[in-house]
Amino acid sequence: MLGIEDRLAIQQLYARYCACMDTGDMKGWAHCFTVDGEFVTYTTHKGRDTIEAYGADVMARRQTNPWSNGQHWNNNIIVEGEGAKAEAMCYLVVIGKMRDTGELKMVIQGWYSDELEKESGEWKFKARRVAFDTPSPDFIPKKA
Amino acid sequence: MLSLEDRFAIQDLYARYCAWMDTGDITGWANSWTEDGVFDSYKYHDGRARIEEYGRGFVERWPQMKWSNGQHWNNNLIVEGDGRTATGLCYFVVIGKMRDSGELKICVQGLYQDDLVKLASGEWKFKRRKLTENMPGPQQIPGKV
Repeated sequence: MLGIEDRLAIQQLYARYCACMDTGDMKGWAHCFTVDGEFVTYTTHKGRDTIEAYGADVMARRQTNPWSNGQHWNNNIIVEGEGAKAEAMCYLVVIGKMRDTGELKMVIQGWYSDELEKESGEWKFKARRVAFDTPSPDFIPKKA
Repeated sequence: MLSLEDRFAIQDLYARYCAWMDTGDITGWANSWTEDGVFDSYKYHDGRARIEEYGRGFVERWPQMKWSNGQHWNNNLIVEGDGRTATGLCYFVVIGKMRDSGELKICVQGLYQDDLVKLASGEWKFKRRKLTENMPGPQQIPGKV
């Protein structure tokens, strides 16, 4: 079972991931993944360098989004693990300010399914997969 | 006072409750309650078996709802208790994707007031969960001075 320090460190990783992405720190964002990490979203990206390059591409296209000020919000983090490995899930919405009306809207909704691993003592995503529609209950980590 | 382990176990229960409901795992969802648990929602459901039956009916009605992809989001969880029982309060909204426009909207807003109990197995469960759509009085806040 995961100790309290590990649980808090994992919560920090979730928060840092969002803050790095939303402020455009793509190096910090990519470092949320292990060196051999995998990110499966609209497309699949394997390896931290490839993930960072994808992140830079997302940033470059950000000004063409119909919204600015994007914020990734997570909730319902469920983590189960042992030692240096864990599996987890959480909810996601992205909240943004629409460029045309100035309205705040939820613009993306999803579910993250994660494999986590400790790399040099720090928790990182070994694999992160995004589902945009309601997944099956198998998505939820089984209780240890 | 609740230990850190108890607090994390209770947070996990709140998160799993939402994930079970939203993925349609109604057996898991009903197992958030004790065998004799009560769900005081839009109607009163007494005992885990009745709660499960209500949950199944609810999921069957999903296709008729104005939204799909419903997600229960909790926030402002306040828990007070000892190593055996606790009272909890949290806010919730349900976020869904509107079937007509595809827009993401807040479809339900409310508040849960909970009595929790720790089983001999060490698991925390809801003994009673009351859902209200309107804000209650301040006397409902656990540990109110």
